[in-house]
Amino acid sequence: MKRGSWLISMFVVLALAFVVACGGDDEKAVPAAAPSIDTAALSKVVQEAVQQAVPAAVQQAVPQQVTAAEIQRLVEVAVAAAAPETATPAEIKSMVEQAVAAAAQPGATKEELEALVTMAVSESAAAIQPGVTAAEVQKLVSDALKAVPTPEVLVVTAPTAELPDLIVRDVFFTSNGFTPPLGGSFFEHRWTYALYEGLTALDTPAITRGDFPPAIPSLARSWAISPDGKVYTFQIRPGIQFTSGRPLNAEAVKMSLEHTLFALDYDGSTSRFGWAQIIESIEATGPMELTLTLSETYSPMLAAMAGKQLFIVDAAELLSHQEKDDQDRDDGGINWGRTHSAGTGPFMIESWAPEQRLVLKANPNYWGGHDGVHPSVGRIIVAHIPENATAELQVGAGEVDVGMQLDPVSIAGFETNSKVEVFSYGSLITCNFLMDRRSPPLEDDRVFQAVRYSIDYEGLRDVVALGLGTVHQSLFLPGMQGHDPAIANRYTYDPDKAMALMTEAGYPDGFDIEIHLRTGSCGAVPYQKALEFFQNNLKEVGINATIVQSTSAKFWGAIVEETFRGMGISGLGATYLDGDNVASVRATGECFMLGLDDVDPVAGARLAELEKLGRSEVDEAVRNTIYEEMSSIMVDKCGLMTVLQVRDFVAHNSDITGLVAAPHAFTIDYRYIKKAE
Amino acid sequence: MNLATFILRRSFLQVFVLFGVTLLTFFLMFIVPGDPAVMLVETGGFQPEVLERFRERWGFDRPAYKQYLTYMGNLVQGDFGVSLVTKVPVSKQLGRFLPATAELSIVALLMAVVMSIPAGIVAAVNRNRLTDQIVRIFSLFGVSMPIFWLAIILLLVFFFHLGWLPSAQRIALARDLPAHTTGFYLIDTLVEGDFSGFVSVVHHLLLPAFVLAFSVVGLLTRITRTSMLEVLGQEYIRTARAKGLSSRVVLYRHALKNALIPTVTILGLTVGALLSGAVLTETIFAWPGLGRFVVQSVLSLDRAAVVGVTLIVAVVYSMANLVVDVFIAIIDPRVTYD
Repeated sequence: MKRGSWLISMFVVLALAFVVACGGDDEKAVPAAAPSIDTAALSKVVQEAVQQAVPAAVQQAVPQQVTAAEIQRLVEVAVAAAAPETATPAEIKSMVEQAVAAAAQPGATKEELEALVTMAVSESAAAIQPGVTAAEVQKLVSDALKAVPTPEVLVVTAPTAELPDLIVRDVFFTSNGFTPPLGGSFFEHRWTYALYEGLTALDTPAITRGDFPPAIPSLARSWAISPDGKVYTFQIRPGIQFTSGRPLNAEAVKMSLEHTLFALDYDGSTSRFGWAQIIESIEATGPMELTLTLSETYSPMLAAMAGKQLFIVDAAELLSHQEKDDQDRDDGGINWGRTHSAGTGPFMIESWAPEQRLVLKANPNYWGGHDGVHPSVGRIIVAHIPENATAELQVGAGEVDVGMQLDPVSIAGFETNSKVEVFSYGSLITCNFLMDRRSPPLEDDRVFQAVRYSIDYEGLRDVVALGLGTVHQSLFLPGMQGHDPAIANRYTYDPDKAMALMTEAGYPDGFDIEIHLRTGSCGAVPYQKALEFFQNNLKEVGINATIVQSTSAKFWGAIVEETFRGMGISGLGATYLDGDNVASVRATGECFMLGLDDVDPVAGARLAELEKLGRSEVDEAVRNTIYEEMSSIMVDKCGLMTVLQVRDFVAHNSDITGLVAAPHAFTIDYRYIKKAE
Repeated sequence: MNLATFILRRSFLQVFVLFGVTLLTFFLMFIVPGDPAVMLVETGGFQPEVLERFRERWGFDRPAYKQYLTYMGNLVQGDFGVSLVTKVPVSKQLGRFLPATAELSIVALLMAVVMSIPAGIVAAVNRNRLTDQIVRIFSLFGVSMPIFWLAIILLLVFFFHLGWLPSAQRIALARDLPAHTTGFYLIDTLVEGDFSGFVSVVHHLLLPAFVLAFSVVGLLTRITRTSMLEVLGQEYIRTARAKGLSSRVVLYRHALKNALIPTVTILGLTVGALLSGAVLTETIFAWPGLGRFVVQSVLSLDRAAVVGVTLIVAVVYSMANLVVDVFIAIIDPRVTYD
């Protein structure tokens, strides 16, 4: 520990010098010597510092070979938590850089780092309250360490085989596999989020609490955006490894993004869109600095980076598995990647048996994510159980720990089972009635609005969705720019008003129309039940709707070819939490395919204009206004009539805790899940 | 015509049957409304050029007959094509899913034989007595009870309430899957020397195999009973009895062999029923077999996969009936190979 003591001493001297210096400038920076110790305040400071610093320190030390840059980051964290509030980030940074430059040496062990950070915290705290003795602070630190929740301390240890297995029920649907940006099915999408990470991330615990903070740093520790929004400079977080053991650095991220572009071009079932259409250059401008240059401003970039399309893959690993495909093309390892993982995420694929089970194991190299939480389960055994009744029995009997993709009717069955609990959360899936605006008389806005007023939204939520939904008439969901509760609830169930509008439009006796039904559901809402409910609503206002059976292929084929006529239903999901997701995919996509631009060219042109404006605007407040206008137009005119935001749910054994929603992944965040042993 | 010539001739005719199967299935997939490109192109891909690129990549931009000729050209070289959903060669997927269905079907067939033939014999011997009535009710249940309902009830009783049998999949969820040697877990676990794994596989087979078997037990029992009654009324049986042979010898040595001919014939046809019944059974018991695979393939308009599965099922079905024909010819000297 000699080297550690030396490091600590150097740091302490500089830390105290810094605090004293700050005190000279501003009396508030360092409180005057207190006649008595404010134990509560001090304890709070120490606890916060310890909770923030120690897990971060130890998780970084797991690889055992720690660089000066990593120590610098750890000390920054400690000082930021414990230093006087009046010290500016720049002052802290400057002071820390000096301390680290003088003290830090590569090769620090886990114990040394832990001691370093603990001492840094305690000495900084002592500086805040000069009357405190070292012994008192040490006791407070010790107490604070004990107060850190056990799992938080436990997670400093790399996952081992001793962690319990978690058995999860899911319904498999294999499409393109698990390597980003491919993986088209909801099933693949869900589990890709356990395997890979982006430069940014969504704060899933915050989302679970109902907050929607912007994207937070993940594999990038920070970034800078040029004033025109075209150049992004990312500082890659040090000390992270892929599951292969390869280090994550700027070059690896560059290779990953280039591989993503290759994959989008290669596969045939995907295409370049969004950022990929306007990327000009990807450059490693330093060992840990990556610069992306776009030809146009692309404001959703940071939000999109938290999603599958921009997850960082170990391109070198994929390329090491490259082979010729059936058309004699180099596949870039994509075909290997369909059934294997090569990311930095909390889990990695252990085995994959199609239509049977997917086994993930905790990534031993995992860095802990933005909040230092490592997986608390050793393996996740995902079992393909297609039949809901079977899955319900399995969850009820405790054979399966977490039941996903269950039918809402199962919830009633669990109500009498004390061993099963249900966790539900607002998903990014919406339920939408579709209407071709070209089909007479739906081209008339008054008829469109009459249909809107004819829908019993609350009845649909309570009777069809069994309460697992929120009335929401806009695709701009909470957390996205453009979300406005007033717009999202603009229409109420008002058959009289609907009748009046029908009469005004010249249809006092209603009209006949076809509704196209196909197998499926929007989240918890079965299409058939929803359409039958809709059919009854329409009947009340004189619209005689006939349900005709269709298939997804036929249904979407007609919409894409713009030959679809009548009405239908579809569940739609958003994959990144930004208004652009709706604007680029739905507003100028399905809305146009359903004829909005034909029946109302002015509104259509405005939507197209707003899409571009929203993407190129860098001011978030202005973007919000842009998307609000878009939302308003869509609610009033688009044939994609959103009616519900679906609440997704999982049923789990009562010994499972730590359930955190990840709505953008259409699942829960398995990094936080814990199972009592 | 001797046996070898008979088998060769039948095998040669099978080729034409299988060719017909491919032709019919392939073009039926074109009649199904919908565009695979629209089904499989991902978000942001509803652009004409992307759809066009997808169609070109998978050859959908060519006329149907050209696609079929290409498919057949590859098929005769043993290439079943690549699944456009999973991007995995169809032959690889068949190799993965067929053993699961085959294992389930074979065990179910054995169960069905073990249950139905003794039941049919007992019913015939005890004609119109209580035992016969019980077997009749049992048979009626078998014929009329939906597989789906029976499976759920058995799960509820034997898994959920009694906890005697596992619920789903081929081996316990907490266990690692055996290495793929044959794909038959009963064999693979033994090859690995994993006896407890073998026991787990047996446990997992019991319920689904019973459910699948039960769907044909009723029919087989009734056929066996009727056939047995007919044989027992024959003069040679009366002669045997008159000669003082014991009932046991008369029944098992003289009557059963002849009575089994219709049962064996039906058994061959039953293979088809078991394979088709396996779709439901596989869904309820999460059995990773051909059933689920073909349903998903049909829904995704995955032509190569659908034709591949249909072809394999047709091969299995015709092979089973060939075996039955040969078997009947062996046990019944009156049958000739023509």
